[in-house]
Amino acid sequence: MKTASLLIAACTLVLGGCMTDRTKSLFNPPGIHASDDDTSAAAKSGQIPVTQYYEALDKAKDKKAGDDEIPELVDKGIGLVSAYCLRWFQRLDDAQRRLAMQQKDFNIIRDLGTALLGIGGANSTIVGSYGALNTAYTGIVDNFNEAVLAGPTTAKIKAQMLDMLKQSETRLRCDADSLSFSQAYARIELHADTCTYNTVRSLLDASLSATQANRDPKTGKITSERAESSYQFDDSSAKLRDFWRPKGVVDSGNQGKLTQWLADHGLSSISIPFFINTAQYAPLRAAAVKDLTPKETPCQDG
Amino acid sequence: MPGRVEVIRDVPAEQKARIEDDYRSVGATVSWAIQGNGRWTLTATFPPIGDAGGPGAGAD
Repeated sequence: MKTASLLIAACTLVLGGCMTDRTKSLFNPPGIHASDDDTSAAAKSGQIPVTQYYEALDKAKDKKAGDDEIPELVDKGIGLVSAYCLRWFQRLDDAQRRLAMQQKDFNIIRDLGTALLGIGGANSTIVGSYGALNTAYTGIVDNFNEAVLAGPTTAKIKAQMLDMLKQSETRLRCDADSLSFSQAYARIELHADTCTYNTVRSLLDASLSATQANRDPKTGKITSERAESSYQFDDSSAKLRDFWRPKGVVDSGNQGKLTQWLADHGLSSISIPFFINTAQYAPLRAAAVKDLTPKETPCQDG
Repeated sequence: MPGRVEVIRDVPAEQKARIEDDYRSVGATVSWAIQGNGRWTLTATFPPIGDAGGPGAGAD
């Protein structure tokens, strides 16, 4: 029992312990300015944005709008916020991968323990236990490989967050020359508030997709695209649906043509069912029918 | 994390199955809510961009 516990603890430490330190992570390369030694050059350089910001803050605190020190403070503030945000996402990424691996390894660690207990209690054959041990160990390695490839959600939110920061940064830089110290101070705080847990939480709650999120740089309000309309199914709807799904089966060629038509008319963000079934697009449906469906020719006698 | 959402109000009950089938064919998840007037509101949720599906995509 004691042997099993020790071995399980050792496995967990070897595979998991070295991932808790950003400088020794197996999931990501070391951060360029990360070090667990505070006296190292890397750790000192990691403090540069902090030092520069507080120096600029000290110089700007007695200045008025239009003085050079205020845009300098804004510049250093933006630099510090960006550095903090990126480092936060690096730690989040490591943590997410570590968590994914730990969850998957729970059963494997238990199997490993069972196999070892089998040896200690002499209830199983040595060969059988050895096989279980090998299987469990192989499982841990496989799950580590999977964990390295995990983390798309973090990457997606990070891209969205950096885009929001960029929007906020552009606005702040444009306004920097006209801000007083107190206004600049408040705007830097609001800018820093973009990259927070609450914003990430809001992104998730609002179910925003990667390219459709916007954050108002002044109010901090996050908005996403949401299409809403009342139902309407007219003659053009019926023709387009028959073009898209003749006899209820999707015609992939026609689907491609309809999708392209929507894109050509600036409607790539809505789905085909929404286009066909809503009052909002009734006027455009007639045009789509005219462009896409076969022309009816009048019957000619003789 | 779900993606983009489309909402269609005032859907007659007899059209529910057809519209739901249309949305499922493009990879959306569909839910329904009854309105006070006896008609239905559809909410279709697409996978986030980068995953399978999405508005304009076909699931087949």
